[in-house]
Amino acid sequence: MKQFLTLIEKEFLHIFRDRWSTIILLILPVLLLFLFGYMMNTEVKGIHFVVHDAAGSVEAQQIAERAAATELFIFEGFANSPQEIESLFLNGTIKVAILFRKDAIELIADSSDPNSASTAISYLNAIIYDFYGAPTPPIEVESKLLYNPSLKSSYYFVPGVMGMVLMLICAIMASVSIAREKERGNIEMLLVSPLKPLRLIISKMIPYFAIAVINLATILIISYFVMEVPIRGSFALFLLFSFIFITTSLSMGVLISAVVKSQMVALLISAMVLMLPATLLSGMVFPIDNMPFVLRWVSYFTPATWYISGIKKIMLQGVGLKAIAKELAILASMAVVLIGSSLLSFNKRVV
Amino acid sequence: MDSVIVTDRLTKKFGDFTSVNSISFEVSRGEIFGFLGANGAGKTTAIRMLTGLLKPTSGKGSVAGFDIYREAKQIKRRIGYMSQKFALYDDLKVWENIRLYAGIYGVEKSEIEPRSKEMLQQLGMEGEWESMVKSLPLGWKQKLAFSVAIFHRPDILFLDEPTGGVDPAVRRTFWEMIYAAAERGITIFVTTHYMDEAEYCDRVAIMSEGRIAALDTPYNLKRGFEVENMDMVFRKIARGV
Repeated sequence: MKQFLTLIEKEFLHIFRDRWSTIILLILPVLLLFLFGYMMNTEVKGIHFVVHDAAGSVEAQQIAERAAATELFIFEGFANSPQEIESLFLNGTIKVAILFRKDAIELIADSSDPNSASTAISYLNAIIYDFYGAPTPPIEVESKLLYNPSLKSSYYFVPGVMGMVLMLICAIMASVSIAREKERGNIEMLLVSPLKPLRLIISKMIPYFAIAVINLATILIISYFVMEVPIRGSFALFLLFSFIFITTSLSMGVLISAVVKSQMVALLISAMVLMLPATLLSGMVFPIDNMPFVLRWVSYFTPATWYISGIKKIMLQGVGLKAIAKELAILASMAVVLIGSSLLSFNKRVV
Repeated sequence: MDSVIVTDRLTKKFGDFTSVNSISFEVSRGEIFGFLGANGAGKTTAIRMLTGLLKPTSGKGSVAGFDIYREAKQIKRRIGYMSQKFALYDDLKVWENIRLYAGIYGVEKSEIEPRSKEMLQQLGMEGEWESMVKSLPLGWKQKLAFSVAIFHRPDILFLDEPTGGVDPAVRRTFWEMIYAAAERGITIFVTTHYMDEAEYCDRVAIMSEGRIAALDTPYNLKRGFEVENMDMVFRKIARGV
């Protein structure tokens, strides 16, 4: 035990003495959170539009005003002819146009961005129906949007960014720190010593676990207070689940470092190679169900996928342990397999 | 004299390649035993099997009285190991490095400080207690690393090409330290490909293609091959004479 504590203390000394990397490790998650936060904003806002009405009716004027009053639309004025509308579309001034005909109102949208086009059209529809008083349908249709009623995109991306950032930071920290010892020859002495490899690995993971917990706390504070994402489930469960995920990600770093020989390669693999599945295949951006077979499997083997899926349930749906049991079990077994393989590889190839 | 290292037809195969081919030898307590051979002759594989880092394919072996298959843990406690790659932590202070290694080998806490002070005094580095290792000159670093490797007073010290790539002056200091350690009763098992260093050993085994081609004192080897120095012994063996 004493031996173990000495090792952990030594690891902390490495971290504290290397001030710059520590600062970077503490600030990086915040930067990534903001970067991805604003990059991945899928909310539709500020759509420019024009109105054309050959008759110059009051209704056209009023509908334009109503639309412009929402956050969603910016009124660019009246167009003189349908031809002018087309040229406005082409030079990118507007994304939507409202055409008042004799017998109908025509909504035209630039659907090269299908997401914002369809949102804009449905909003305009609602505004127009509202203005004229919609005909009452025979049955009332009531739609309810659960868990994220105001469709805030932060609800969607914050859990994703948490998963991605934690996975990358943990993998980078663990892999680079062990690879550094390999590169400098420090690890030789530890491996020929009576020290058990498992202890060596765990003593490496504990300090970085502590840093990852600090990262988790900063991400959480920002997402709760700045981006206003709630935690509806149990906070204890949130922590437990996150701790397991951190352990899995650290084990991934350990395995990387067991295989590579230099810090540079460790960094490249953990930052670049993991970046791709962590951002694109983890379900953070694109739904996993729509992915082609091979990519879907890559995503299943990405720890962040399961963390994001589970943490969304905890944060947004407020579910209990039972509902995330699958995610929890998968992450825990991943950690066991990863540590097991690193141990094997440590035992086999010493230097 | 009792034997602290005994091997009997010790063999290690990597797939089809036989790295160490049925080697048998004994090393007595307090001896400086040289293990010579060109790169790829199987020296490092042999040393790894003896230090418990690698499981042999077949054959028997014991180190400090412990079986190399089953008792690697006990062996590891009783040996010291150093290679040219071995280095102390640059970003730790001298005493922090000593404490770390002493702690790993289970040296009593109360003993660490007086023993480290004594060690630094012998090295003429009393003033460097609080220095960061990275601020020390290279020669000092290596002397310190050597002393740290025997801080836990091992029965046997394994040195894997300890002088590879260092300049002649440092090599000489190294050998002085090796002699000093041997005088304190530590058995030295050293691999090298510098033939002049073979002269410093009590006995040498010359490895060639995984086998022990010759094993004797440097004096007897030179006489047996009728040559003047170890380098020529080695060349004759390499030519298959």
